[in-house]
Amino acid sequence: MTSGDAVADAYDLMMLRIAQRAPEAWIEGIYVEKMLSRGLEVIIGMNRDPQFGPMLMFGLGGIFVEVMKDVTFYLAPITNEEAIQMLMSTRSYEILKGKRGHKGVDLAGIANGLQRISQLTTDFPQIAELDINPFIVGETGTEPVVADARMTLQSFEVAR
Amino acid sequence: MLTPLFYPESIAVLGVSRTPGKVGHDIVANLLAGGYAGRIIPVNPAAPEVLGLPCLAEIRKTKEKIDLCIIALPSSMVLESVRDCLEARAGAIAVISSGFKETGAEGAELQRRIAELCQSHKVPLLGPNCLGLINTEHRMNASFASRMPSPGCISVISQSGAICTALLDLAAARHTGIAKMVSMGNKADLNEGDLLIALAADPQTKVIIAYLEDIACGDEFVKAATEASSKKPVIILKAGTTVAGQKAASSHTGVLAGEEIAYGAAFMRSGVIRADNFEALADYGALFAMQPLPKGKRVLIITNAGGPGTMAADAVEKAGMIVATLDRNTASALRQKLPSAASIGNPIDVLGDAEPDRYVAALEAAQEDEAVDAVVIILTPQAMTKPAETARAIARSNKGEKPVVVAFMGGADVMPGRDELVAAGLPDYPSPERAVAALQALVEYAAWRKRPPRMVARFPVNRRRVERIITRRLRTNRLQIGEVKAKSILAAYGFQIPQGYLATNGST
Repeated sequence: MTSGDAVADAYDLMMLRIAQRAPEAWIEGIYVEKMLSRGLEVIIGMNRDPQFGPMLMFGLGGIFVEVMKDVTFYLAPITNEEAIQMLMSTRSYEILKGKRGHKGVDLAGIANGLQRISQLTTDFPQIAELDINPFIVGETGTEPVVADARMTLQSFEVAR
Repeated sequence: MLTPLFYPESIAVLGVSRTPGKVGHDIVANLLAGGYAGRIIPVNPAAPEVLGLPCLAEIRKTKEKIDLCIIALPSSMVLESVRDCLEARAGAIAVISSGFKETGAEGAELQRRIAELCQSHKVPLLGPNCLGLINTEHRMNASFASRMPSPGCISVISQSGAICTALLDLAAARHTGIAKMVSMGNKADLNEGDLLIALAADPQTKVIIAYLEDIACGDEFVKAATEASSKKPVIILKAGTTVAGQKAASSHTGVLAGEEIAYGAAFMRSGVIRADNFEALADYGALFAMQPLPKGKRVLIITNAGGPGTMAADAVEKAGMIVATLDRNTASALRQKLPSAASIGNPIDVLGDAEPDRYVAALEAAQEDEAVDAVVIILTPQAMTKPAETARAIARSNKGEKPVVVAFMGGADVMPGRDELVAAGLPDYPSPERAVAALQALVEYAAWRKRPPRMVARFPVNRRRVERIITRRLRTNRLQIGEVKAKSILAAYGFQIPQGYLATNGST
């Protein structure tokens, strides 16, 4: 979309189609977002283990996670060194670092993101699962952006 | 705190039979055979004496001070006899009997009541359903494993009695020796966390090896294991992790996580050395017990054949260690002592006709060279090879400042050499791969010990905003948080989210 009018037209068109094809749907609204600049897609997330509590995950998006399961897990809370270690212990670290003329991505930004979800999920035991997918990371010195995210809560009685 | 368990001055055994082969009888026999110097009090209302020791008819009314009570009665009688032991003011209780949690809900309930009773009296309880325990320093074999090990510096914690007896047998064959061995059984009260803390404080124990099937409490375990690992190596074989714990996870992270990964992360955090199989548990244990920690990860390989040297070098690199480069002075000095055909790189190939003197020359060079942190020595049986003499020569010239691991490859011909290595306190392995795997564990643990103190950063965040969102969601039982609200939460924790808004009508 390149103009406000285009966005408005798209809104009307989508509402019309939804009304035709899924008349039972209840629509909260349509989320309109600024287009992100390109970057590398990574996944950072958390899964609360019944024994050991929040476990943080890092992986490079796409086939690296889905097919090759190239991910690392660390127990929260993590330190900055451990967050960097998480990146380094994946096979896709070579891609993150940059290779053959490709510039590396902002590793510090990913490590920072991991520490922030470490703090969030340590603060809130009610969060059972969390995915930031994709987390879009640009070149060194830029700040990564949350393109999409999901969470699942658990009632406080079972939270630990 | 576990002194009455590990160093009792008197032991009562309940459920002693006069028939050899029965558990109660054998425990008394093992205490006697092991040379236990304290008082042994067999309890049996029907027999006047067992194995020459006078029996006590019942423990309840005894005036004697009893530190440790070992119960080997049928499970239906255990609760009552635990009560009796507590009345007799026992310092610790070990229940050998089976028929508890492992049999089902009724047994689990019985076990829970026994544990609760002991805990309310602050008396530590070992078991039930266990082999007992051994403390070689105290010459106490309070188990029904007949083999009393020689004293050593390795202590064993195990959830399986059979793994205990297998390790005892192996320790006997390889002369490794044992400090303490505890069979935890069903872990009704004492568990791995308690025992890790006890053994971490035990001066006799230099290395802890453990076999676990589950962990009683995650938080306590991480705390205890970190404390223990900070003092001495803790090597754990964790079985039972392959059960596909299929659970309903709605996130990528949840799908990829699992019990196996959680244990891996917990072990990594705690500095625990993970053994993937029984061999590794014994291999690592022996190396940690016998050799010093390395300063770094640069490894020198000494071999009498090219192929095995390459295998070792491959294994070193794959394990994340470095194939060391000899200092120029070391290399030229060594050149004078080895035949011209010998290779002075890394691996150092002392050639197939090497006699002990060439191994000694190479080992001495490696020990002096500042660029070498650890040494792998490989020997293959060739025409001129003298395995036993070479082993003795290696042992004599080993100064013990850098770790040395040795792999004598083969079978019948090299066995005398392997026996010499073991007798001299050098860890011996049948292959370069196993030697290098053990060395990797040693290197990684040394690095963990030198880790900087953990500093967890706290970012300034808007915690109350998240609190509000979560409270509202929980109150209305809307547990799935979608993109919009998830982003609000993340923004409150300092994440950058794309500019955007929820459009509810078609106007801009």
